[in-house]
Amino acid sequence: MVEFHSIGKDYADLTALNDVSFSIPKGGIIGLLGPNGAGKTTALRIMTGFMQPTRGTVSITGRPFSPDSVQLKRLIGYLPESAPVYGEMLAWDYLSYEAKLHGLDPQQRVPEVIAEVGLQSHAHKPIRELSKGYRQRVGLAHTLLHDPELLVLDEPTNGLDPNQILEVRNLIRRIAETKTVILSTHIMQEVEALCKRVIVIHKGSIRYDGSIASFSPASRRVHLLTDGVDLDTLREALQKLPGFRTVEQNTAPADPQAHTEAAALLHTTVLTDPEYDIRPDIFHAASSLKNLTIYEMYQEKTSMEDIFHELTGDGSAAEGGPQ
Amino acid sequence: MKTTATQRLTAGKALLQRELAHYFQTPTAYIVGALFLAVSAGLFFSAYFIFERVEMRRFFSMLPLLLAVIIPALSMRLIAEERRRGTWEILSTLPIGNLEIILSKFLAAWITGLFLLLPTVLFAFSVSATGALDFGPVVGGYIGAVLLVAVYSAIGVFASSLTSNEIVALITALVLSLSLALLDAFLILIPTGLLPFFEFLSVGQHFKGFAKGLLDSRSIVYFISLSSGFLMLALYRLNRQR
Repeated sequence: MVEFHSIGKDYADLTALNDVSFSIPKGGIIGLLGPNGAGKTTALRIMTGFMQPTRGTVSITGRPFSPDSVQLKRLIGYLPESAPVYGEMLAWDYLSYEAKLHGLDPQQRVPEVIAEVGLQSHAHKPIRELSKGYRQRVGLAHTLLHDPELLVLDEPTNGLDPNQILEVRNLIRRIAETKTVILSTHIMQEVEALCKRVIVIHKGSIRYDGSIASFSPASRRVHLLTDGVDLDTLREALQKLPGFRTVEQNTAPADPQAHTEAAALLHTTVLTDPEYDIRPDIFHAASSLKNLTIYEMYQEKTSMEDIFHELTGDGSAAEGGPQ
Repeated sequence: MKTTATQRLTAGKALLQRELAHYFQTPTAYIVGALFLAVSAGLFFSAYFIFERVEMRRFFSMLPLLLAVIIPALSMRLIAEERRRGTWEILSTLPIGNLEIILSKFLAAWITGLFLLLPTVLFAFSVSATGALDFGPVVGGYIGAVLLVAVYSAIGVFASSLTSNEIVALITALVLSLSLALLDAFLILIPTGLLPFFEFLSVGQHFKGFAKGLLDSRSIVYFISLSSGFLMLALYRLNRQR
């Protein structure tokens, strides 16, 4: 459906996108995730023909796409961030105007999209008087008017309250049953809730491109509180284990409450490959070290936010997912 | 299935209708129109009663300057406002080209400008009631005024394409329009060698012919070229910003 081939975009003294390539097939919801200023909006603007890339090419349904591709723009429905619409117009009038721009009959199409996004009770109010949630619905109705194959939504739940977020998410899920939806967000939960595939962008480059299921950390951390052996002996025993990377001594005690008892113990962090759970092996290895006593052993739980932070932290890149 | 050209024309028509609705469903056109009518009537009739000549030449002589102020006030919002509100992003990703957008906005400003001129036709009928008015120069003057509004509207569209700040757009359009309008008054300062060039550039010089009832094809070409030139500059500017 959408293909980016080595896309780059330069502003005066800033490279917003650098050698970005991806291919999005038809169907489903794809999340474009990244911190603010990562280049997500620039990518969407290029995808919708608002901007021309400095380098690279874009194709939509296999055909070259540029801001002049008026015919291909008919396949796209775009909702920019904060849904900019004409506030002084009634929702109905605004959608009628947009329908005319698409060459559609407003009398037929406007009631259909209004029903589709659940805007019936607010259709005859000035847009500026609507709540943010309803304004977002007007924006979504605008994207649906010409029944496009591809919907591009930039931060569609930004600034909404929790109830409105749920409503808009449900609406997006419904829309995605028949269309391809690409949404950008900096909120991890949004991607978890809606998308099967995620593309993480940071500083203009892709840091991860793959399924949410395989969106895993680059490494696992196991914390150990031991006694009886020093760090070198422990390292020697652990480095034979599969998936082992490093072991480092921690200066802070594992449990601040047990500070006095733990003070004499060795607190270490074992770093392993993400696909290994090294804990059973450490347990078995302990039996070969006569003096080793394990007081505590636990694996750090890695949330999606931690992975996101790991991917978008300076100088890091995903090791797990396909690029 | 509509052809691409028809679809683009339909989209352009929808945009033109919205722009016109914006002018006429809000107080903008009426306030600017009332102001224009009051100033032009005041200046014209005060001179008319002093000189007591059954002619409209005095009215037409002040038009280049008056419209150079009024039309930028109307056109400053055309693109700048869309940019400021963020609706430009939606508009330029719809299946409508920048050319159609520019032409629709230009036509809206032009039509609204002509609407402002419409009540001044009453001046001609009022004057004709007091004596035998030669309608040749009057018709010529109005043809010139139609072309003059086109030039200033094109300048307004160009100025509005440069910025997201409507005041900056207004000032830019005022500077450009007034420069063309006032060039006539400064011709005396221009070196003789350059005089023909600056005379040709002056809006006033070309407009004078129309106000005398002369339809000079060079002047018609001048107004059409100037309007097209500024619209092309606006198009170039919008395409470059992508």
